[in-house]
Amino acid sequence: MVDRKQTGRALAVVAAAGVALALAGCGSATTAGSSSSATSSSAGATSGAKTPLVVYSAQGYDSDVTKAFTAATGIPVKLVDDSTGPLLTKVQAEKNNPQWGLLWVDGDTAFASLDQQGMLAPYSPSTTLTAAGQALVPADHSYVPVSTTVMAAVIYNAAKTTTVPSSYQDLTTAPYQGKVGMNDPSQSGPTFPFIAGLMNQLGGQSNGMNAGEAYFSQLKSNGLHVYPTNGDTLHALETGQIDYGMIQSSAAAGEILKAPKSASFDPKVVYLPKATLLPGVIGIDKKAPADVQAEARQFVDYVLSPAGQKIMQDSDPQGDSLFWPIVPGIQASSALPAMPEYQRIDPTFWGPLEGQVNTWFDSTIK
Amino acid sequence: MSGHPIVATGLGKRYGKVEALSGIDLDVAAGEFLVLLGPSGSGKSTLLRAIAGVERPDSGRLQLAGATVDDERTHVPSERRDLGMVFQDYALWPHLTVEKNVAFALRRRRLTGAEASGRTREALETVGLAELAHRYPSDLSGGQQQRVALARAIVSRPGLLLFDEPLSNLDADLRERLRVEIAAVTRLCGATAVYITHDQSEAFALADRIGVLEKGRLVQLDRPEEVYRQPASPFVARFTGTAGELPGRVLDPGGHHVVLDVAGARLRARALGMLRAGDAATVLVRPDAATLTPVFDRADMPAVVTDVAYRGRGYEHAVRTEAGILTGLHASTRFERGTTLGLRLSPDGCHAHPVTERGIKSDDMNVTTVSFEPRSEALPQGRRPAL
Amino acid sequence: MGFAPMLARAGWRSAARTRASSFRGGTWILFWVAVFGLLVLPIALFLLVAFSPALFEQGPSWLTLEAFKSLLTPTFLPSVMDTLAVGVGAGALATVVGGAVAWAVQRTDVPLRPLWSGAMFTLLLAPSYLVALGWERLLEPNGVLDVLGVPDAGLRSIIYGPIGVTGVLAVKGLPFAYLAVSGALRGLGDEFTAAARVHGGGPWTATRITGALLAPAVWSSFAIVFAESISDFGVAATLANDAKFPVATYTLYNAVQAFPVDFPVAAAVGWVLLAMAGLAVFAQNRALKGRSYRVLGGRSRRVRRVELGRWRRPAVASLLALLVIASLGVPVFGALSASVISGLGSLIGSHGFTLDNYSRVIASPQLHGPLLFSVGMGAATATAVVTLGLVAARLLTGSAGNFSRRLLDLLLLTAVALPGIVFAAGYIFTYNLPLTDALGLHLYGTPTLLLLAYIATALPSTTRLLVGTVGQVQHSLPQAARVHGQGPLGAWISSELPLIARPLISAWLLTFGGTLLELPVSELLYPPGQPPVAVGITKALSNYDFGGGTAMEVLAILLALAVTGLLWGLWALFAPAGWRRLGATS
Repeated sequence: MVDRKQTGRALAVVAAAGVALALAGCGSATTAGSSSSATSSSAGATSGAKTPLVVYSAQGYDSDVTKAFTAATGIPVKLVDDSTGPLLTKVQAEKNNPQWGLLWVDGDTAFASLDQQGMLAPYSPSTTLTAAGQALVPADHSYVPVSTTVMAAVIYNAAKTTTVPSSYQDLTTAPYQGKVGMNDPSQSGPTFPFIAGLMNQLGGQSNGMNAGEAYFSQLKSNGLHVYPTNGDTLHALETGQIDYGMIQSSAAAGEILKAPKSASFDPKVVYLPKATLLPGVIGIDKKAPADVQAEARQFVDYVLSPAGQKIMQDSDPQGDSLFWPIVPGIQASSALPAMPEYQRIDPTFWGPLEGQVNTWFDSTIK
Repeated sequence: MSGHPIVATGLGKRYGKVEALSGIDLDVAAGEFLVLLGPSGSGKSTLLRAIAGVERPDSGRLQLAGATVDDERTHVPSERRDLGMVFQDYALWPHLTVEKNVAFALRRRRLTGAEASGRTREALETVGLAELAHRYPSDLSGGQQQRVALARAIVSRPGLLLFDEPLSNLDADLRERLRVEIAAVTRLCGATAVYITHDQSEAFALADRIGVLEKGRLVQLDRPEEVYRQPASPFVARFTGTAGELPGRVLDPGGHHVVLDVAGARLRARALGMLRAGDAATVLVRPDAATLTPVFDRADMPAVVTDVAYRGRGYEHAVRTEAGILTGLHASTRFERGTTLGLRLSPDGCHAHPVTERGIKSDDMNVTTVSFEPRSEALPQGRRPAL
Repeated sequence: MGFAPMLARAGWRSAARTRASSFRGGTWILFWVAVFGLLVLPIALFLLVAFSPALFEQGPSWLTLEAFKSLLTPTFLPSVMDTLAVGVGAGALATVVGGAVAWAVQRTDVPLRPLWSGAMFTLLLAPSYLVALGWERLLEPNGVLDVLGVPDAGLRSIIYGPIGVTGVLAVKGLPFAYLAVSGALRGLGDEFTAAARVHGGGPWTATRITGALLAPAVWSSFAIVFAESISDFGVAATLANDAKFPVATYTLYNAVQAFPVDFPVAAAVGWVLLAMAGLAVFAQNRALKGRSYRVLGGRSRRVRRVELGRWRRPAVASLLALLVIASLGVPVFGALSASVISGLGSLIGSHGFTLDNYSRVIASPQLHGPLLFSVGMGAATATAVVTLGLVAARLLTGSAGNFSRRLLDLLLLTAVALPGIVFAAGYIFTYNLPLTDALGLHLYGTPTLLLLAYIATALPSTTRLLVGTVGQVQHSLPQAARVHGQGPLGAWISSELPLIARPLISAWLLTFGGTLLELPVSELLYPPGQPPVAVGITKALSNYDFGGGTAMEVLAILLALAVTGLLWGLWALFAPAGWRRLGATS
């Protein structure tokens, strides 16, 4: 009876599928447990049962830093490593029941907004920061800057052009017509701080919007190209679609390290006055349990320690490690120049304007 | 194996507002061949499916082989009713060969491989398809496919065989041949058989007894001859074949036959329902009740031939009388169109019933119309039994 | 024969009633509870935020129309129109082209048929990111075509805009259309067209008859491609980035991208997308009037293939080849150019082919764990979705015009029409309530919730695919099995499963492949410390590691293809001959 065999086989398939499903369900529960214990295993023996610290981070070096932190302190860490956008979406969506203990991303505008919504637990670490670092610290100490990049670095192809701008106004003139590219603020996180920084520089808080809009309109009539993100703008530079790209300093420095130089491609970076600071920032969840908040403060201290800073600098040498330290005594990567002339914009003023500015940019400049 | 007797008591089934079956009482003897006859929507399918266990009745009780299979608390699933069934659309599994389709029904018998293949082979031989055992259904013709379905139904020698209009998808020639085969094979098995159809010729040919269903009720259950000779209602009479209907007035209701005036002619007929002198009535005429004669007197009704068709054994005529048109009247000779003949009607083939203001009086006017299927076949005026 | 569809319909109606009564009530309750938890609750709670931001602390008001008012800008309405146009265009194009491919593969003797159907399948695995990237790399100034000296300015202006966006989305929808229509074609005998021609209809009438019989599949494919397309943002943002072609999802993404995230506005846009999906369902119902034809039955005959003839055979094959190259070759090229050519895929200067990215990625522990995790999740999701999808498909093909069928239909399409990020946010709202925490239900941040969200994401499209097949199985087949001695499960396994096994495997593989590379839900819901592979890929891409990210992506796709090949191989080896024979043609 071949039929019976068929039925048997079919039954086996169904059964196997069911078992797979059940296993997936159980497996998920156990793997969740084991993953947290994996990160904490080195410390488990010495520290007993500590509540894991949930770290939401978009930094390229976060994995190494959290591992070193666990090794050094015995505090287990659960890392959610994602791009800044999804992390902030998560944080906002979790607002009535936050699951994060600590958030670590680039840009202080988001933190200013979190602070305004009363979501951050203030902390002032004992470490005294550099001048640039101190400029970035908010008056209420609601979040902690731990490093900084700037926006924008102008990366240009020295193999194709010898004309180097010395101010943002230069970019609106004839030699740069059709040769300048930048990112789309609605798709690239660091680009809004750049636009806001230019607005702040050109007209302050009172007239910045108008002055900035006028400037970008000029850029547009001079043939500005807009690409989605840093990577796309760099690609356009490499393929000769543009000769100048305005991108984040770490991406520019990384490109110089990575890209093979040739007769037709020789990337160089220039910083125009002024560059806007785009700090790497840590914020602590105000709704987290007290012991988790204490762990988060330990984490901040660790990040600001020489050991933490070293791991940050070594872990992602062609990417996020290319920041300027704001802890005194720590040298920036040799791939970076001296810190350019910078400004800090008030995130509590400019942050809330992001949606409005991006929409304007989308409908007028793109 | 001998057949299972079937006893249904007060069986009912509703679909929302539609009463598909109501108060069906049925008693089928072991080994009997019962045909359920009725138009679409009459409930015959529902009744068959209830017996099969595919459908669960809402009320009443059903017993198979003495055991209750359906009542308020019980519902024995199809697979435990010891059935074989032939479906209208054959329902052969396209992924199995002919042999495996047939052998499938043997699984419940838990036979050894050799026994099973022997029985399968036997069943296929019975329907004459042994040489096609390894083909797939899609390689077979419609008639062959239905034969496979028949083999599948009988292979496990069930106590009950169910047929759901098995011939309706076949052409006329094949129908007749397969009908004979079904009759032979079923009786060979000794199983009780329930067969549904809306074709009265099929019903008359196959049945030991016929159950006529109308709007969910069993309106007559009798031997084919009785159903034909003594229909319980105008509905049954119409559904089992008439040549036509003639309006008239009752002259004398008394006696064995009622006497009517039909377009000036005196006509005697059986009474269907209460008739009083002076009542308007309609006479339903069986085709075989009419005799056409070229030479006629005043006792005969004059009829003009409007159509003639050669039928091999004779001729069939359609005629126009002053009272109305009759069709399908047999004669051994040919009468040309336009000829005026005498029409003589035998009283036993005529059924008179009263006419109300609303038209023809039905025996149950309160039943809601079954509306979910087309009812175009409900009144097959022109049909006649091909006896 | 002209009455055949009508008769089939009548039979199906009375049979459907039986089905509803025989399918156990408990199963339905369980199913609706699952659908409620998986789809209704997350979507409803997310959409509620548009009216009541305070509900999830997303604003001060408990009841407000502010979010909707903020949509009343001069740019939003045109963007809605653009979105509608893209949706209709992509839906129609995908259906026409996918339907044509299905016809050629199922009904003609065109050569290399397994290749074409395999290509359609592979297309489903190609992320739209790669499709868009491929076109960009080809057409950008100083791109591949420029380097090769092919004049492409004209093509560039076409592709970098609305037409390109519509085209890429249609290509993305092509597999859905192909699978839906070929499922229907497979069950459709010659007799219907033969009947039309016998009764004096020309080839055109015959085509119209076939069209009418295929209408449920055609509408199904149109509706799903439409819904997928209106929820898209990535393709429009990449290809029409500076083409002044705003789509409705822009407003949504801007609301979610800027900080603080404006969920009320995103939810308001969600309502607009929902209305569009509703429009599609309405159009579908109007067009079909609840029709459905059961043509896969116990009375079957094999279908004859159309002989194309000496000239048309190579012509049709060439057209198919062109289509496959354009739709599949381009993303493959995009992936290869990014992952095999050094230096961000630049084609100028001293670039060279290198497999560094692959050796780096293969050796990287960042790939193994996530890939393994995603494979497990994909397999579990696919299994659950196919099971649930079968039940849903049964409901959808059950009694026509009934309320729960329409509700489910609308619900499934809505779920497709809402972007994944919205969906994921809805999951956070629903499963991260302080209330559920208090009840001891910590689902958020666990693989279980991610699995549930994956299931919810894949269920709508998978169900739509299954509807086509399940709807064709005549009820008399399992009934015949019951009558001849099989229990309910045995009847299903012996007489229904074999008929739908092939589409079930297809559906399983599709879900598996789709889940393997699913991004938006993964990003927001993955359990801490356990990133799925898509998150790793995106992370690499956003860290400008195009080579590494794309190499990971290519490896994941290759893995999905390998699993596909493995399953079909097992099918060919072990499935009973009769099972394999179904859907085959002579």
